[in-house]
Amino acid sequence: MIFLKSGSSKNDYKGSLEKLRYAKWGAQEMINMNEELARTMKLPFELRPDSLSFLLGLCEGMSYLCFYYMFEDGSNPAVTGENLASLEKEVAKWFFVCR
Amino acid sequence: MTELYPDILSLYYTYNYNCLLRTIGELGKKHELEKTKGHIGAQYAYMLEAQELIKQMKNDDKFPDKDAIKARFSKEIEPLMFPTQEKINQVYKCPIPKGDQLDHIKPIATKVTAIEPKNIRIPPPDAPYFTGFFSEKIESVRSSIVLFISNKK
Repeated sequence: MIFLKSGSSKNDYKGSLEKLRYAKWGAQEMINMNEELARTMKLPFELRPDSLSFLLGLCEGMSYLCFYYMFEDGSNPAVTGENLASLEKEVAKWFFVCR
Repeated sequence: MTELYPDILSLYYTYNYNCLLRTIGELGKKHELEKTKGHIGAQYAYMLEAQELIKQMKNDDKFPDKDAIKARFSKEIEPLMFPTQEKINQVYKCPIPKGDQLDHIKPIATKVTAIEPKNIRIPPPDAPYFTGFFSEKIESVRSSIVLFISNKK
């Protein structure tokens, strides 16, 4: 279901990362408005706090995954093994939130 | 969400395992350079963390890469565990940090921030395709105003 895979071009990942950052903004805005919205209407499943946290976690996890795919080939000498381990930990952290 | 769940589990376990494996490798390199600094103790502690992760994974729901990660652990980390423990006990005699004392994986320095999308509902002024466009509601408001003004005249 998640089609973000390793091996695409860096520009593809940059484009995906940009869209994910827009999506993250949207999810954060919805979370900010959620309390006020809940006072005026019965929230549908998609707008419940749990669903929005899931969505935000998914956007975060996939953003860091894009980051990771951009650097995993080792072409950037400034990126060390420790940096990649930190990125892997961050990816795992956000997908743990989604579990 | 249920369709995404196996992929989410797969990504969680794969990247957690990869992170531990990479850290074990990095600590192994450090140990080769500085044999007396006790890096091997931390390296063994991360091996134990990976073992715990595999135990946790066995009790979790089924997902596509579950067997592959188990096989990777059996091949990449498990064979190193006993010899490393023996080296620590017989040669280096260094402490093995507890799970909550492990801080070798630093938090990421550059966070991904959200960006506000540009408002695509406002057409660019030089775009000819939008010049004649008005919604039905706007059209009716406009014709009412025009009628009102002409009556006044």
